[in-house]
Amino acid sequence: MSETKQVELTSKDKVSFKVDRDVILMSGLVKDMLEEGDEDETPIIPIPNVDSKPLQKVIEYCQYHHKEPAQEIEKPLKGKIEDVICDWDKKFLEIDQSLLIELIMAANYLNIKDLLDLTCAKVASMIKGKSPEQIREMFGIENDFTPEEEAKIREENKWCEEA
Amino acid sequence: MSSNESVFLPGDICFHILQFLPWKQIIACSLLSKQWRSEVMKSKLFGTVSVKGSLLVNLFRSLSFKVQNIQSLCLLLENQEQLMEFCENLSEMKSLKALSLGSAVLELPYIGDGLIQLFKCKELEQLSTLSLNFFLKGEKVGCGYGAALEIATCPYIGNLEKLIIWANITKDGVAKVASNPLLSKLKVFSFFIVVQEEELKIIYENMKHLQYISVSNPNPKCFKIITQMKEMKEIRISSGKINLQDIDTESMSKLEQINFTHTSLKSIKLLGTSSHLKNLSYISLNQGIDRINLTIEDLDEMFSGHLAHTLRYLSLALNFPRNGLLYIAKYLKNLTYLSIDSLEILNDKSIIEFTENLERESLLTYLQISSNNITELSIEYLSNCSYFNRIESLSLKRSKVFSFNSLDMVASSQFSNTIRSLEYKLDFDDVKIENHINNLKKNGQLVNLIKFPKSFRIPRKGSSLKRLDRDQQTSLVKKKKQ
Repeated sequence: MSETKQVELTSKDKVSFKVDRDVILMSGLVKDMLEEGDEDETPIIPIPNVDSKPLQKVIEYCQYHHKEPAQEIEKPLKGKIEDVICDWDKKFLEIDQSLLIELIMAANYLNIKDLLDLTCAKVASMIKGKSPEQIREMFGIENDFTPEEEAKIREENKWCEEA
Repeated sequence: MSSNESVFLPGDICFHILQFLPWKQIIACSLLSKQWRSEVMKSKLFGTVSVKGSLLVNLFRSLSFKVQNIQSLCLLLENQEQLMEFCENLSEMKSLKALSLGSAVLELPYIGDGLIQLFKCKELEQLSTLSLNFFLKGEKVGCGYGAALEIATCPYIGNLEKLIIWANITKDGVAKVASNPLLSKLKVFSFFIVVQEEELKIIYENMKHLQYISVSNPNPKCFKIITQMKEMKEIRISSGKINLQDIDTESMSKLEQINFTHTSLKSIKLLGTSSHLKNLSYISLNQGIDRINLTIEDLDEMFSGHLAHTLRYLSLALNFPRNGLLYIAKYLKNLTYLSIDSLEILNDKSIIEFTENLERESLLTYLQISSNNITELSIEYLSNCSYFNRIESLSLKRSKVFSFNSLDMVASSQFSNTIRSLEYKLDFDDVKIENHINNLKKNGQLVNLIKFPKSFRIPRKGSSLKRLDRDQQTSLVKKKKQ
């Protein structure tokens, strides 16, 4: 019986994770790196932009979804994200906000489209129906407009509030 | 992360998040920060935009939001000038695939010069869907016919697959539209007027790929022509009686959806027994006043065949047998939508039998039972049934008045978190109901409920409601005498 090939990923905080090659091929970045390397070795791939905690979640996601491909998420979301994703993804997204943001960054860096869609759609679902002030408060977004600039944009946007 | 901790997301991630938002929220996000504004201004984001005509000017003139990437537009243009302005800007809308136009104020120049201008636009070539809505009060005779003439001669509508005309285009107008050889690719043709065999023959001959048609009051010969259209998947008859037993159903093998008003008992049974109709997944039958009496034997015969596997949508307004729901539970395992309007025939026992005869998880997301004899006992059984865990809409709106306890029962049901719309009568203040629901939501129950039971004041002696009842009765007596 042939042994499953593995890959070793090293996070930004120097934690190593051994993961099946087939699983981590969901990452476009890792796939490209493996294609460039030697097939026979167990490659060690540094992931210098991702901490161990989000990297562990990424691996967890890939381990599940490399066999169970994710359903495409509708754009725009008509209701809540929970209405359009599977139970496993719902459970997967039960994380705090800071890890969610780290996961988005990790999915973007590692080029895992389905995970990026899932996490971005989760943020969109959190934003939906909220005022700009509430969104800024929720995600700590700094308002860098001058009061004059903000007033001008509000005036420009007025038409769509009436639509 | 504390909510005050600053987060910087790269532009492409902001953009990715924005794609999942509706367009109004996208625009609201332009106010978050300069970075978010920059992403919103890329404006590759808009899918469907629905705006009133008076706001159209802002849409086109806005410095911030360009319109090249809008794929679908639904516009209520109020006058000829707005329609003309829209036509002038149509060339900017490179991605537009679906256009729906309506008018709040019907004017002859709108229909005349305005539409002439519209159908001169070469950009119509990019459309796959065109919907014209001029079916409005005070419509002047012939207005719609003018529109039909423009469609009939337009050289730019060759890519249309869906044409919906809500206007009195007259039967000659329908014939003229159907004669445009460029419309031979049409899959959906919707016009809500009465036509004769002559017009339907033209449609039959020129529109070989038609999959959907909606017509009013077709006579038997007309209906026969419709059923001979081989690609037909959906037939919608808005009025008039049709009899399936008079036609050969063999040519209807692709039919998936049927929506009609008056028919015969034999026709209804044929839907479930004809081997040629085995692709039916959607049945809607609204019998109106002249109701058919279905028996349990009829239901057994109808639902035990191919419908048991294929039927997803069932809406019946007829005299449904009191114990008929158990046959739905027994046979229709794939149903996601169920609406039965049976006046006073169905009662709590019907619903109890329904819940007790389900053998596995129900796929129903919509459940409506309309009967005057439903009491709170039905809510208790529906809430306690472990097989209902997908219901999003539950309507028992003609039921008796329920107690407040009914909300708690739903809140503890398997569908507590999927339910979005709940309809029945409660004799309480709206504020009290809303407060109670808000408290349940805080406990993690009914979190998705948007539409909930409204207060229902039981008419007191001498109240205006009582007087209204008497007035209605008098009016009914007068009508009967006439």
